[in-house]
Amino acid sequence: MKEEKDEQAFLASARKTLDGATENLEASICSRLTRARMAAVEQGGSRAPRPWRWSAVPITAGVAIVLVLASLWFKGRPEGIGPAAEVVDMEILTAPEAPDFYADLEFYQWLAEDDGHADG
Amino acid sequence: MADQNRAMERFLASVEKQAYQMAVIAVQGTDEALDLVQEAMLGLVSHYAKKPETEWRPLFFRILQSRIRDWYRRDQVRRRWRGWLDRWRENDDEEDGDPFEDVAGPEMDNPARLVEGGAALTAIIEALRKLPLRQQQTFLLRAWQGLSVEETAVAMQCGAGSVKTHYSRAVHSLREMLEGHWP
Repeated sequence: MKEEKDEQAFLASARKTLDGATENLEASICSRLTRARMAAVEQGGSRAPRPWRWSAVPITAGVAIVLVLASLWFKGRPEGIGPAAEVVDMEILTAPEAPDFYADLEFYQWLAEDDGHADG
Repeated sequence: MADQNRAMERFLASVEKQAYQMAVIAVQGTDEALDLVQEAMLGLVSHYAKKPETEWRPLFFRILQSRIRDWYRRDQVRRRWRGWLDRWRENDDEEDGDPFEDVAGPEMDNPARLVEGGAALTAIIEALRKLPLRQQQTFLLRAWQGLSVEETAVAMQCGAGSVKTHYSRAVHSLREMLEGHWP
């Protein structure tokens, strides 16, 4: 019982001391607190709630752009062009023959086949 | 809307000084404490203004506690870097001496300077600062702010059982430390 009374007295003293300190805060600190409060209330009052869809717009637009570009990339590619075709491109670029040779490749192929028939 | 703003302003005015004291006891610096209180005010107004007024108090102190904990985390990182830099400087300055040695550092706030008050106030603030942060803030919320166990649990983001334990340990430690100054 006495212990409880002592604890209550202790708590009352602590509250009184801390309250006293709060009442005697420096004027400059009180002024800064007031400014902070006004700024917070003002900012809160002027801030309109942001609809979720506006925050989702950039993300959705980004995803849509990526999807469109991806579909264009894959659809726009002629059939047969894939990794193997890229290897052929590299061979052409590094080959000793002049590029004109490859431009007329179909002609040379026809010529070779025609020669074969003629020989036969 | 205007009514709500007025109500919010009244509420903030009623807690701002105590909130500042709690923050200054925790972080031991005037500017840091003011920043934390301002952040807590903004947090409450931005996110919880539409909540019932009866919930503002525990929510405000919850935001403040969260900011204080963030500050402690950042301070831990700062201290680690500072310790590393100091060791590095010590090695580097062995030959030249430290040119900043005699320059006054940032003013270390002491309880007597921060708040007007007598020996009793200095004693309790020093004792509170010796407590672990959670005990310190639980004590201030329960004993000084008068929050219930449940409200304190909301503010401290812990269970009611933890609040009771922190509070009981805080009271016990404070009474031991303040023996002679206090009943």
